Amino acid sequence: MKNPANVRAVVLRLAAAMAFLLPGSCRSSPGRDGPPLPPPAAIVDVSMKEYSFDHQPIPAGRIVVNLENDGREEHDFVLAALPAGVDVGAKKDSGQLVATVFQTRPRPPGSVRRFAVDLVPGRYAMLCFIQDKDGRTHADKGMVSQFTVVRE
Amino acid sequence: MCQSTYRDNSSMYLRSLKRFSVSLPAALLCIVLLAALPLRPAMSRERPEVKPDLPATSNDFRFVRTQNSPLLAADPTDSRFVVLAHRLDAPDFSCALQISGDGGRTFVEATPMPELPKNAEKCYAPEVAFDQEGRLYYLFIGLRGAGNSPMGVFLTTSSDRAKTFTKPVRVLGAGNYQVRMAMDPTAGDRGRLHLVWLHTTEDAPTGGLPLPPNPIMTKHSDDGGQTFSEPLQISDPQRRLSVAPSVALAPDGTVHVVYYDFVDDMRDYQGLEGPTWPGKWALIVTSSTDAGENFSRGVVVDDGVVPPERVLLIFTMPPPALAAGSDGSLYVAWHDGRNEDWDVFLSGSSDGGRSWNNPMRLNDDDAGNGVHQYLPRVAVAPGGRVDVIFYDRRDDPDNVDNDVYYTFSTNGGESFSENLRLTTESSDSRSGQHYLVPSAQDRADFGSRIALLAREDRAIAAWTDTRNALLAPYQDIFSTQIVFDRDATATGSSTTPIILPIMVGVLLLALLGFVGIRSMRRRSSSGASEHDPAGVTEEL
Repeated sequence: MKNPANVRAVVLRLAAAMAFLLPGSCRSSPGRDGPPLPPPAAIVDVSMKEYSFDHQPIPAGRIVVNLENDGREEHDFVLAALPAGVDVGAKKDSGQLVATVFQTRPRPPGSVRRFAVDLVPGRYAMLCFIQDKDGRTHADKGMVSQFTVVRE
Repeated sequence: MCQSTYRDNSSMYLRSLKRFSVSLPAALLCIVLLAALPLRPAMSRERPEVKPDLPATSNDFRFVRTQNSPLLAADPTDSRFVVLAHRLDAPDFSCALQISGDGGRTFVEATPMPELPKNAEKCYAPEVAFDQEGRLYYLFIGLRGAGNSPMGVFLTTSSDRAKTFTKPVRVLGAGNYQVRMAMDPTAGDRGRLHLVWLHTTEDAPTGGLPLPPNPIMTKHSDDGGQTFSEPLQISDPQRRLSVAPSVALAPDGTVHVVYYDFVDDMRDYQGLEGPTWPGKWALIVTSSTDAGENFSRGVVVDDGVVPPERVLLIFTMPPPALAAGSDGSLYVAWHDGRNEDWDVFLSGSSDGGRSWNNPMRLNDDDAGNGVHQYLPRVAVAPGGRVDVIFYDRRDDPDNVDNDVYYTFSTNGGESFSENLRLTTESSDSRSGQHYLVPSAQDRADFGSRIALLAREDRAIAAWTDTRNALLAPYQDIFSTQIVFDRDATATGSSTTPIILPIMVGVLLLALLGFVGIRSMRRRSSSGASEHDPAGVTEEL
């Protein structure tokens, strides 16, 4: 008489063997031991509203910005690279040119705009230059975010 | 009494189990087959999910960057590594490479780029391909001088995912244009690298090709581009105005090349002044079933191609799109003006390019509505799904702003899905480089290709995009993914992978059930031997 345990063992082996028939299980696994893969771009959400920018810390490298106008008014967006010695809130004009890395036209409430920038470590600022009827820009009203990018 | 009751109950239980053990696999099999049969048509109608489009190139307003003509390729050893090569037309002609480690969702710039060879001042029109070991091949044209004359075609490779590149090797001399590259991983130890290009027999005048013959040529390399076979003309010598080749490899190594025959359109061939050519062009396919050693005489795919407009610049003319399936199917897509405005057409062949179906219009907006669809790209996924993307202006009645639309077929190109919009914002087709040649008067170069990578469960698309342009000729490249339920795009015989695992599972269940019954029977039998000397369970 056959031993049921032996029969079960045979069946289990058979099942294991048949499992290789399943599509996908016979494929070689992707090579995971090759050279390192490039890092993914960081996706950063930037929210614009009256009158501020809200965003996470921004790392160096390729950044995909998901720029959303969460306010009730139109806002535009300027990303500027700040030279040494220049501060957005400084009362005295340093006279140095500030380079615009990225800029949008005025964005309506609820709109989303995506763009990418390659940021090297340094100091940057986000600003909105929409001018209100009172003659003041949104930047004058505090819609400025100065931040430092550091290499992680 | 007690013993007898037990025996009777046990016997009934085991009998019912026996019947159950026989009927269970049969019933499951029926259920599975019934469930599986309608699976394919029901799921093939499923609408894939279009992921939000993301920039694949970066912005920097300190420079005007005109980035276009993307080309995607994936590392066969690790599907997470995807590369995107593209042209830069401003601030100066150049090349760039974006690389992705997350399967093409996001890209970063490869730095440093391959160095320029001696005497080359600029890089132009890059091509990319992988061999089966994951080695990246990067091909480009070297330009020199104020007229940006091609001084050679160069090949460099990277074995460390674009961190470093070998010193570029010259694989073609001056006077060669429209160079394409394809890698056949099935041939030799390192795969066979195929080059296809347009060869000019004398110096090209500004803006156009010299008088014919300027044949389309091919050659191949089995050692990674170090040495090549003798160049072979593959355009039909009778078709003297052959231009704009595309190459596609079938999984069995068959090489297919499609090109335009301008017939008698010398105006576009030489870049002469004048309106859109009033005649017709033809689309020709030639194939090699011996891995590029010999090519068939050209077969006409369609000879009613109505030139949509003047060819902007013959040297960078968008080629027809070509893709091959694993079952001998072949697809050519192009756009033309036969319906007054430009429409995208596809013709399919089920016999490896020997005969072709009538062209099918792929854009599903109203015919003759005055808006353009153009520059298609076609790709075939491993399961047989045929993907097509193209620029589309249906959302702008002024026929200026581009979007990108997608359609797919799960029945070998017999019919296509409704068109799906991939872009979340439109692009101004007038933003791009302008050239001071008669054929390009008042028109911007939006690039000579659009990119598409077909995978079993998704398609990856990339295109020229100007949503972030404040000034012309600013252009970016955006990309997105179109994601399917893995089983939704099975076609034809590939329904087998759906049914097979289910049937195997059923068989396993049946076997396990059978063994379980036998085991129970034996346990019961050994129990019965104590309580049932009459051996009722022997009936089992």
